[in-house]
Amino acid sequence: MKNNLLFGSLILAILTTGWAMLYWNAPFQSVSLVICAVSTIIMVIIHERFVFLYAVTASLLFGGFLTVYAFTRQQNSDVQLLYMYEHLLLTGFLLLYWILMNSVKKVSYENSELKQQVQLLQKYNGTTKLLTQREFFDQAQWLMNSSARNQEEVWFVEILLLDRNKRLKLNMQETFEKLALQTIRQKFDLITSNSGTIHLLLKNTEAAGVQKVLERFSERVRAELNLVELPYTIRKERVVDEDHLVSLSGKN
Amino acid sequence: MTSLIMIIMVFFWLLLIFYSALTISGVWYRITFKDAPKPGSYPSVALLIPAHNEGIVIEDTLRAMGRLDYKGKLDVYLLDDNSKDETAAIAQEFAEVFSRIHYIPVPPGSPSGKSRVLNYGLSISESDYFIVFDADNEPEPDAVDKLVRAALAEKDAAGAVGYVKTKNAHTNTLTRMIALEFQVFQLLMQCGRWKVFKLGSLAGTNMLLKRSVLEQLGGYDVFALAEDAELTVRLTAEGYTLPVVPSSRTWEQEPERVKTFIKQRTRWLTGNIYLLEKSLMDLSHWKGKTFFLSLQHVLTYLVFVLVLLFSDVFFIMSLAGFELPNMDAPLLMLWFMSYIVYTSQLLSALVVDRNVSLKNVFFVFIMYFTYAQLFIILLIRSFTVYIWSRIRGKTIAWDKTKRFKGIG
Repeated sequence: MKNNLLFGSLILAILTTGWAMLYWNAPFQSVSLVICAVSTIIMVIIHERFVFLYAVTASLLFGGFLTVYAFTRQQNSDVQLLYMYEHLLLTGFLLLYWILMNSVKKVSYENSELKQQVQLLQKYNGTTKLLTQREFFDQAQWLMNSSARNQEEVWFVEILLLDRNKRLKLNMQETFEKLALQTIRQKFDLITSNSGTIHLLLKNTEAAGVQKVLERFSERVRAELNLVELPYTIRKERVVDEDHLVSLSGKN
Repeated sequence: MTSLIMIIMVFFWLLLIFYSALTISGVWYRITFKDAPKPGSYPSVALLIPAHNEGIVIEDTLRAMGRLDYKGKLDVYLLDDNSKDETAAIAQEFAEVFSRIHYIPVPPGSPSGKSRVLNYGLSISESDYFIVFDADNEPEPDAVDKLVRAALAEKDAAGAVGYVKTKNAHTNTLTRMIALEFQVFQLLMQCGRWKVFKLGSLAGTNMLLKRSVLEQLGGYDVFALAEDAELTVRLTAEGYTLPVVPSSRTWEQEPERVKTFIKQRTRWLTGNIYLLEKSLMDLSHWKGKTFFLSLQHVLTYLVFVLVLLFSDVFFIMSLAGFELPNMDAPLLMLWFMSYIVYTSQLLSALVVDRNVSLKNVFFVFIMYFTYAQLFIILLIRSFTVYIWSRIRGKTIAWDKTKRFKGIG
């Protein structure tokens, strides 16, 4: 609400200043209009840090030009007064535009920052609701600690999808994620995915148990797909500690 | 009359161009500034705090000194210059508990003042570098670290100078205007000048120096009232540099009453007039980079105020209906542009220090007509004091700035 009022007022002030420059037939009207037009583009393009510097430099240079011109043409006080008004309008326009740009960029940065924060806080991925990578590793830490205390085995499984058809890639990924989610023990094992891979962390199991899970998974895949050769490879390994898990998942 | 006016006009032009260039360079330096890299090993630093009756502020000062985060050896020396209040008791309390804080009573001597106290502090301490803080200063924890890093990274650096921020800026109109003046000074005279001429100047506080360099120069000049400015000239004349580090910040108290302000600034200006006289007598002050320092002294403490006085006289004359001589120069535009340049400097300082507010912007627009005019009175007062003391052959006594209670 506060921002809306600020943006509204700034836009109104810029329009009023621009209108005054356009309709007030002052000396160097066209020069100042060109400066304004060029500046509106330059101030958008250049880095935020340099926008104020640009506005001040433009204002001082225009002032210097008017002073030199008044000196060389021996202008009287009335004309000089007009130059002053013209300069004030241009400076006002540039500073107001700078404030507007600054405020817009500030809101944009805040927005990006908030998006990042939301991503950090999110536990589940988009369509299939698998754990996010961050959440997977957070929960894995707790899982590894409790398994170590209970002297249980933890197994890491990587399902790597083989590249087949670019058009089908996304659907294949989502189908595999859905099937893997159905295969693992809910609220017991962990699952996450990255582009082209699915990672499982299976708690309190052994090699034979892992094999059973994988067989269940391949059965589901065969039921869902018409392919004779399954389009994925499997890598499985018993996890010793957190560092081992990180290296297995290729996070380091 | 016309030729005199033309000469003043030329100065006016030079000032406008020079200060415009410094403003832009200062802003450029600030927005592109990066801290120097961390060194492999940190040199030892002696931190000197000259103090005379600082009971009101010394507790906060020592608390801030205790918070300093420096990886090398750091010793804090509170140099008590014959205090009659509770300064000694408070400092001793800190010194008894903290091994890095030392209470040092300075033996009485003449002439009185900060320079003599600092020379004594250097004689009783040992370190590679020393840093000076005024007794009302509260540096940020990384202030010393950043200065040391900058001094080590810059070739030919005699040390480094940091930023001074105003602790009581929001107390009243005067402190707010002083804070703005400080911001502008540091943007132009420190950052801008460093960017353009590789010139930094010692600010009296939050300044780091290599001990061997000062020993080579023979220590502080005990007769200098503006010992920082005087030492800067000698350092520059020897070819040393003083990198400016805006990220190293200390917070200090500024005068809250006009009377205190006038006394403090008279001392500063008198000190600068002493330096001006020294510069006019000593040709080494006009060689190489020192030329710009000395020129700036003349511009700031003489030409600027004279031009200001001149413009005021013209303004009053025109108000009173006197006919002004025809000068073949766009006086109105020059006056307007001087106001624009002055205001741009202040506005730039607000922007780079990130303290733009409606109130501050309002003060920016009125400072030319209010605060800047005070300097005419100050210069007249300072010249009178200085000339009178020279006629009588007496040394001007050091005049300590009054401290104020009630700020956190």
